[in-house]
Amino acid sequence: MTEHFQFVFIGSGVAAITVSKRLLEHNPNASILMLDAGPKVEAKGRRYWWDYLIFDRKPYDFCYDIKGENETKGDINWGYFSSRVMAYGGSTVHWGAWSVRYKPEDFNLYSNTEEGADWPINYEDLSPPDAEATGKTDYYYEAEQYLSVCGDPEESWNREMRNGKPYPRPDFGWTAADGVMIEGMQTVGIEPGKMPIARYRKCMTTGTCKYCPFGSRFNAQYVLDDLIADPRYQNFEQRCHATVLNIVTDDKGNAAAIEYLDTRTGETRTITADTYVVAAGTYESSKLMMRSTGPKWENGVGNNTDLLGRHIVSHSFLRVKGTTPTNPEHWVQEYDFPTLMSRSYDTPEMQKDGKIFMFKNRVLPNTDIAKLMMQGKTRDEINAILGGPMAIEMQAFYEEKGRFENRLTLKPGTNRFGLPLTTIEYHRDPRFFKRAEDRLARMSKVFDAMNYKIEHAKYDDPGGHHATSTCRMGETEADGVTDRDMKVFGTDNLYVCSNAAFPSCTAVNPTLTLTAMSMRLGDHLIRTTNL
Amino acid sequence: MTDTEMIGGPISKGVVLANLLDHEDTFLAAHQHDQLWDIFVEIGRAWGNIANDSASIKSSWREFVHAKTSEPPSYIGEYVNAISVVQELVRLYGHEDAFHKLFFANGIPEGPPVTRLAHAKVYVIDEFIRMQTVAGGFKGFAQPASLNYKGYVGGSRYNETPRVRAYTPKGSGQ
Ligand SMILES: Cc1cc2nc3c(=O)[nH]c(=O)nc-3n(C[C@H](O)[C@H](O)[C@H](O)COP(=O)(O)OP(=O)(O)OC[C@H]3O[C@@H](n4cnc5c(N)ncnc54)[C@H](O)[C@@H]3O)c2cc1C
Repeated sequence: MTEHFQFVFIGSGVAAITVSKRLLEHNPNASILMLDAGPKVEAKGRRYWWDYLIFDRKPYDFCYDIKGENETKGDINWGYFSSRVMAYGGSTVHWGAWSVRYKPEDFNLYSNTEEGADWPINYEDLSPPDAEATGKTDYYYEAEQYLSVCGDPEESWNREMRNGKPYPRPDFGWTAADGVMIEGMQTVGIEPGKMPIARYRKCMTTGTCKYCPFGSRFNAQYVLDDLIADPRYQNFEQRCHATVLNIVTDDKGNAAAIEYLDTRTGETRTITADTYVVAAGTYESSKLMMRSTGPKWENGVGNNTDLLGRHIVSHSFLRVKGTTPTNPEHWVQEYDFPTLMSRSYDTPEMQKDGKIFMFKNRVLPNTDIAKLMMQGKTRDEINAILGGPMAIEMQAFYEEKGRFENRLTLKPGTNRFGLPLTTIEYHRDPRFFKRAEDRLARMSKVFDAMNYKIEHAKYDDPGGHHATSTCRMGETEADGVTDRDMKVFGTDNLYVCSNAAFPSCTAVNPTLTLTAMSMRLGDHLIRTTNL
Repeated sequence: MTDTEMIGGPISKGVVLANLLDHEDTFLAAHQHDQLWDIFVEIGRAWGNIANDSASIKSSWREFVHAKTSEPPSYIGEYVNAISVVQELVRLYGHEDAFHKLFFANGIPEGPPVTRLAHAKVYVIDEFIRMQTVAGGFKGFAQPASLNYKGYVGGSRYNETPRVRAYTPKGSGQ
């Protein structure tokens, strides 16, 4: 039996949910099917909460990639583990909720540096300075409202970018333990800022959230729960354990149907729709399209110019750790997230050799008092440790630039959700090493100013957390898989709503921009489908 | 801790599998609750990090034990085991020494818990320690102490009062 819907979404993460919400708010009768390969993870409950605190065990741990399943070729070891959640609600079930806007120059990476790619849209398309006067939508601002982002609008970069608009929530202030690094930054001319976090609504006691005593960080599951429960949205349906295997295309190259496997029953089902949105994350969106060959798409839908899966890019992680012999104030970070960050090196001047987004390690300084007690340390011993050597680390995302030779391909075999395995071939740009050393030297100056002994200044390999560009947007099919509206070139009715469509990864986290882009896609679909 | 010979008598040294102990009961009797609470109170006494014999966190502890016994996997088998291990230790060493040995010098070998004593330590004492620290015990060590700790639930979300020790810029006079 074939079922028909106006829209079908492949994936149930924040991208799919945000577009669906937009469509349903416009027309509550919209018929939408949202499929996810993963299960619905029961997460709300006190036992989950305690298990998280006692064992650091999360109810969705089994929804990660398994170590060793996927492979890397090239000269780095790509980080797969814990880089996505395959489940109802997708990866925001476990994200950090740092919600940072991209900067205007990020949209013109190639023009500014002759590396990577330009976006076919500009910052102003997401945050028009004249939004009020012209009736245009400020998508960044709406996304911040929706995620309930807290932050400080008075930081210099925010004054430049926010068109005078406040954040919906006040920032988390800096902790006392941030103080020494704040002062070190100021000494070397780095402006300290407050990490913007998506705080969302009331505490949901999820067992997945580490944001107490403040409750809640945004988790797309909650929005999906609300859409499903809303009696107005009779034609909205979500299915789990539904792994989309194939996008069937017709002679013109348009999407004609999708086939999915119900992994509980082993049945394959066919769905037709007017519009298809692949919102399956950076890996799976491109892999699904690679597997979907058709009369017009010998190498996979959207892949006639061999760009699908290419240019995969993510941040390399830089870290400088320093120590001081005593901690008389017994400072610990107190929150399980960072409160101190800076965009002082996330600037047009730094773009050529790679911007960095700096932040204080969310865990340090810290002393695991309970662990010391379990080890049988006495009160005096614990007190001595609390007042003893203190470590602080500054970390940074380094902006890597997309390269044609770096690519994601299918590895034979499937994982336990029926999704194909992944191979990533990644070669570092030979210029990376010198550039990263320069950035580490700048970060190290903060520790010199703090008078801390530097324990290490090093970089890690990139990983999947913020991976982008496997279906990147371009002006034409020659330089992109998708167009400025994230529609697959050569199709009329197939879209990719994912970080996969981003032409670059910038120096900051992607999801606020993804949310803004999802809202923008929702409006585009409302306009173009006569919904 | 491993330099010491493992403490306890035949009950404590009884060999069991490392995974959670089964028990046919589906709830703890009132007296078992009380015995467990007495064990919990000894943690605060041993480290001196909670005032008034932990009375202020009793409701948190109850809620914790309820979650552990009413939802799977059930800890009833572990709790019943810990009570009998502690009773044996008290019989052998007297009250004060029993807890001192259990917390600071138990001689339990590294690795998975395969004796009843190790089960009591790993599944009950250690978890109680973490629960106690999260519920407020973290504040009772060296002063000044932090105001917040991972898992500590201390107030409303948009409360303007800092829930952590906040940074005060030098010379700000605050
Ligand atoms: C540890 C970690 C921390 C992070 N922290 C931050 C942060 O602080 N700030 C930030 O901006 N970003 C952060 N991110 C990134 C953020 O999680 C992602 O950008 C975001 O969740 C992506 O949303 P999405 O909807 O595109 O994809 P996802 O949320 O990954 O959802 C995709 C869904 O599609 C399903 N799917 C895939 N293939 C198929 C198929 N063939 N058929 C059916 N279903 C399929 C998957 O099961 C999955 O549920 C973090 C990521 C990680 C891993």
